[in-house]
Amino acid sequence: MQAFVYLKVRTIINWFKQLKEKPSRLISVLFYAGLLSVVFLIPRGDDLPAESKFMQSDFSRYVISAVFFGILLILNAFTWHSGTKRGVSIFALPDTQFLFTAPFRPASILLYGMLNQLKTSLLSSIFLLYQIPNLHKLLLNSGQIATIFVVWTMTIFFNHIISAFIYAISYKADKYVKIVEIVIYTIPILSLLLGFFFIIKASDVLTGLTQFLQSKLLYLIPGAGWAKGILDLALLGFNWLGIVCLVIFIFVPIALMRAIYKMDIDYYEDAMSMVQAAPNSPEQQEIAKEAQRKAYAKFKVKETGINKGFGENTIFYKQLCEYRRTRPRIVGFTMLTLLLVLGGMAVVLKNPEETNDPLLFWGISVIILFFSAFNSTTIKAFADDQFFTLPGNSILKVIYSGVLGIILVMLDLIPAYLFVIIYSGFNLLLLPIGILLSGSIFMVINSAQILTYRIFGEVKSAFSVMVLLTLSFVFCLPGAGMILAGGYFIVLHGTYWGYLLIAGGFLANCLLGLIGIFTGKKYLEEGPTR
Amino acid sequence: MLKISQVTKSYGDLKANDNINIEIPEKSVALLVGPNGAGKSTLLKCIMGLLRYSGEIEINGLKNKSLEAKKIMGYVPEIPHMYPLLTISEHLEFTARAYRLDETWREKADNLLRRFELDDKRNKLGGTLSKGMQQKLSICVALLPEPNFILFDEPLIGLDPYAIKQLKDIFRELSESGHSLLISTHILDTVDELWDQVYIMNHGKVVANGKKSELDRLGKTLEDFFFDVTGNYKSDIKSDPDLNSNTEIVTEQD
Repeated sequence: MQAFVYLKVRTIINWFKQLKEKPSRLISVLFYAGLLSVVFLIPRGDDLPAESKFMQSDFSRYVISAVFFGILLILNAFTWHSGTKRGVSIFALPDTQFLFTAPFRPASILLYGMLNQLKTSLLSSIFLLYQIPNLHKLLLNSGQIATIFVVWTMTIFFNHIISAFIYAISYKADKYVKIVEIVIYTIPILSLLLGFFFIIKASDVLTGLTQFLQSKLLYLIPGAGWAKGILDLALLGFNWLGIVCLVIFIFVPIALMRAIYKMDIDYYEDAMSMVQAAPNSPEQQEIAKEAQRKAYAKFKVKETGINKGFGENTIFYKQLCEYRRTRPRIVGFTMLTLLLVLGGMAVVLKNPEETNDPLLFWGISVIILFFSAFNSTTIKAFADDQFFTLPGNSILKVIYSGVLGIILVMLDLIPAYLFVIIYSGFNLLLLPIGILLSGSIFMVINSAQILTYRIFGEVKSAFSVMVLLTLSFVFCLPGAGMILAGGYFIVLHGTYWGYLLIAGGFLANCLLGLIGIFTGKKYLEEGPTR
Repeated sequence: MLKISQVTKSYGDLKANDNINIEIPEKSVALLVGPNGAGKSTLLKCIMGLLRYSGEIEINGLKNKSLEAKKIMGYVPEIPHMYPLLTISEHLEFTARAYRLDETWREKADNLLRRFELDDKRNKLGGTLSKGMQQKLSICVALLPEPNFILFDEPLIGLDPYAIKQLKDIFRELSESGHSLLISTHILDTVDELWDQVYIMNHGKVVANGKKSELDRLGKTLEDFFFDVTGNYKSDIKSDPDLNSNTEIVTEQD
């Protein structure tokens, strides 16, 4: 254990020491530190007298307990599920050389790997700090707030231990994985069913919900249920079941750790397949090929289009082939999100007395696209050495590297725009116009990506991603601003200036898109920065 | 020292190691040679207890996956991977802690660092080391706990001539001081004088083995023996009388 502690401590110290030599990292650290300090500067806010009665009521405490229970239930499912997966990267390549060959128990290495993940989970739970003012507003005392934090941390810790336990019991046989997966999915489904049962049984929804949240049956759920038991103990007063939950929550992780420690586990191969990004030796290549075969075998894609490429456009067809191999269905997460959000907005905003502004829908779709556009085909192409070595015209190569991304974005928009147009009774001509304008915005984001890539030679570090986000936002402003201003003029005044502004916005986007293409050309001709 | 009985390692339908039986006595240097993809690295990883396989592997009568066996084994992998945020000396300190070495490790570490010309770079981070320096550090890390049995997987790849000379000297010293070595390589002339016995692997199987003394008696080199056994290389150099300096090399695969 002493060696693991040494490894972790030295890594952290050296990371901080490195900040002096890496200004980009220092800036990103200062940025995040500044962001975090905002949390502590948030004012508590004035208590609202109208709400004070509700705040003091037991029901509000049940709500707090229920909200945490719900979040922890979801965390339970995610973390436990990670224990069943072979693809979870909990080790780094040096771990496979230094830890697996040293005289450490495999269980110790596994625990080290899993607890290493704890840091990420705890950091991601910083958002809890933002809730301190709200918790104070709900008249919780410092002890109760501290209990919430302790229970939160305990649950995250417990989840990682149980995840390691699941990994340890399931690595040998797939049948255990299936059992665990059934349990993982059954727990939230049963909780939901129980909630529905209480609501149906009660006279009204609120009473049913209150009875459900008060139900001691929820304490039976490992992790989230036990946490709820302890929270109820702190928030609602003494009860014996809460004490039982506390005792269980302390002893079960210890028992699980002891069990893991005694297990004879052997998982170097899994660790290697997790971390081996570029397989080198024949057996690693074989592992990688097997994984790829399994991934590709899930989908049957007969025509990938790879045989159609020639010259520079082979970049496009290669991307199309890879895309169709991994995601052969047109319907994807972005398409569904756009449909749900824009469709939901259309339904909620439907009002015969008011005309819904189509620009509102377009603006929202652009915001969603802004965040979904970062899984860019251009960046992937730029990271590929073949992109540089392939003979051909540099401008065409840059254009072809971004075409698929733009086409996919346009495809994602069609169902959402169609639904909104039909449901809200807009002119059908808005469909191609909206798609074209969105496509132009994506060209601008593409330009920002190319520029960022030219500066950093990659878009992986926190700082380069921050620069990418900022550049994308700044690049989008002129075009999107002109389009929105144009729409405003048309809706309110019906002036021709509006149409001119929209056309100007589109042209501004195209111009910025061209800048990206020429930047990419220069980057290609100079060779990779990395 | 090392006893491998009926070891088979499969990846799906591919048998990377197929029913391997090897016995390496104490205080000897054994070579594992074979073409690329023969299964040498896989076998070393099986011996190190890293992979799942069928069969038995024992080191000094201990199961190879036991902690006791790991304490007496050292391993230099083919591709070194250093912790990017640990310095050279911290890698060694971590190893010393992991193997619970007594305080004399510092002196041994200094000595190793000097031999491999890393002493003036001891504060360099792993992430900033060149491939050759990583390989040197990897060797230092493997030698620091002074294991009785050391596995080297293509140890000379990436090293400069000075480090190769140092490593050959170390091989000799280790051999003379009674350590057992198993060196996997496909470069036959790098370890010519050092070995006692050789195992030739091809397509996942040990296709032949022999002792140096036997080969010496027959007047054969390791290279002759290798090509006799694998028999899949014929070289015919034809000089073109019309073109003074041009030569054509013809190779045939059986």
